Amino acid sequence: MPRWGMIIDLDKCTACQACTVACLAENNVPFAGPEETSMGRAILWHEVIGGIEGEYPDLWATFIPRPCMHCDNPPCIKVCPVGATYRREDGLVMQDYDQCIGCRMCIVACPYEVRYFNWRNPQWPEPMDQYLNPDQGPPQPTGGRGGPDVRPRGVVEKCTFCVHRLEKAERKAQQEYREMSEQELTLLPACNQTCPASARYFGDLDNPKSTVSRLARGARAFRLLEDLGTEPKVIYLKEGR
Amino acid sequence: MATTAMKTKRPSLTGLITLGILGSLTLLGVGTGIYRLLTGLGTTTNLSDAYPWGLWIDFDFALIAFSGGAFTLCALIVIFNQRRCEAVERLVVLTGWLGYVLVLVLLLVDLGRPDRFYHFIMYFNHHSPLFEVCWCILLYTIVLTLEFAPVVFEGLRKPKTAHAIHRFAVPIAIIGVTLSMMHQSTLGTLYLAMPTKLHTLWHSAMLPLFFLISSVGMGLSTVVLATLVGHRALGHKISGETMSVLDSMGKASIFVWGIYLLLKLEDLLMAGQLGEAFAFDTQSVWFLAELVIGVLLPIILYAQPWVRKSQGGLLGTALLTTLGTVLNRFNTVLVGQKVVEGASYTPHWMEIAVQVGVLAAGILAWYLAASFLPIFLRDRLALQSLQE
Repeated sequence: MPRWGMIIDLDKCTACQACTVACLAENNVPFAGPEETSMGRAILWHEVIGGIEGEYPDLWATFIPRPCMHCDNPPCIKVCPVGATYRREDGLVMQDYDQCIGCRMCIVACPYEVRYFNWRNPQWPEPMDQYLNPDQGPPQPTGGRGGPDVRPRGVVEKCTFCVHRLEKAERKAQQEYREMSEQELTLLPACNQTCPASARYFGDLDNPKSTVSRLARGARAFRLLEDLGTEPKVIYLKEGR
Repeated sequence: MATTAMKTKRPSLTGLITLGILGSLTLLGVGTGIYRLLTGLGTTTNLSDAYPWGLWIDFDFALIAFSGGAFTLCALIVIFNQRRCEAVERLVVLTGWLGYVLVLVLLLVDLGRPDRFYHFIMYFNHHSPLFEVCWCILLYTIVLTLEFAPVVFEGLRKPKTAHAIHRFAVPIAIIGVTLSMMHQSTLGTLYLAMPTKLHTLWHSAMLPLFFLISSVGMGLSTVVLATLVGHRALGHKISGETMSVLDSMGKASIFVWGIYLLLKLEDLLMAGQLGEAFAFDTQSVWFLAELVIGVLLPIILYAQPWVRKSQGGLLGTALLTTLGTVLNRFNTVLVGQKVVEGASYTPHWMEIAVQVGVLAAGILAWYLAASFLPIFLRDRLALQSLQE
């Protein structure tokens, strides 16, 4: 069983936010108007977080693209009173929208703040409501995913590492009796596919030959809030200065 | 069902006005609550992903600590065999029971999907502190219902049923104390999960212990508050025996809050954060306010014999403790939270309306129950003489 992880090379990243936009479109994330956004209620499964480091006059800007870390030891799973958040065998941390009661304990507990509550019914301005992605949705009994999946008001949602695309690619590879190629895997999540700087990689962290595990072992690799012991599976590569 | 209290006492004009105000606030709260259930949290609250928990959770925490009076008193009576405390038991159990019912109502209103409230019974995640809290609150509310049921049945003139339930008082009380100690401390455990978000003045490995001890300390003051306010509001005279019970509650409070203060200081010293407590920034001021109002002042006041002997002194000190405990929970839920820059939270008027409505409903129900049920010794004796 693979253990999916992501590498983001901060040296290559240009903070263009294409990943953020691709994620919104791929996963049918509802639009948030200026009012909701100013209230801190915009849903962004993927965000590019800017910051300033150092001390004046020696300052530099940092930009960190931040999807869900899909931790191996996730606090969100431990605190959910109804087990609506679970970890799949392949390491993806998923949310069951039918089981979630909307207590928001996971939002409180997630140190990376990657969990979002649906404060209102999801809305898209015209004509965006005509462009919802039909591939992304709950698993179907016949295989594949039905869609477009729209999360109801009152539940928590989060990044899935584009699980619907992953499952589709896995199925296709299986039908063709082959393994998924490195190139295929790297372009799997929508944020990776859209990255114009090719700063992102996706693959099996447990496969010592894969690009992601090779990069994760490198000297530049680090993870966010590592000392918390959450074991995040999104690994960053330090930028050179 | 009518007892002597109802027959002999005619509500005064101020009493009627108070009841009218409480009734209107309850109606407003119920209306707003229904609107919130229909339209969702987005339209009725100012909560956000930076502040996912707000006013309601704060009052949940404070109400649970406040209702800790019931388990503290039951532990004193059943486990420490302080039978003289039975004089105030019924009033305190009623207060605790209503407190927990209000907590359940508030939790339901606060859920994103209130229609799925039963999920924690169906889907187990035994790792989750909130799972334990949900179960304990549910079970403890049932325990409190059983503890209060004999009073209701006595009021309904069914002494045999009341007696039958009362026979199990000891095991019920022990279960209640166990459940309380579990969830009172686990409320602190909820906040252990956020070392990056909760300010170091509040985040500590001893948080569960702090919550448990402060719930006992608050509980002792709840006994004082419920007894004094109950007797005054319903025009009953407080006997010397009752005053001596309250005097003991004051003495016990010194001990409990003393331990709390020592542990808190030790915790700050060990973590090397005593300096932060006196930094006099926003967090430190709130932190000191909570400790001075809720812990230090009550210890000093309760240590004075004249305070423990006077009703006003006891009432004032118990109110200080309540304010301090509310502050402590408020600080943990809101003030102590580190959030992204620019995020802020001020409760929406509908949040306040629901909160005030819930509290008003609680006070109203408490007043009515205390008026019509044999809570006070005089009513019980009158009822017994009627039955004989």
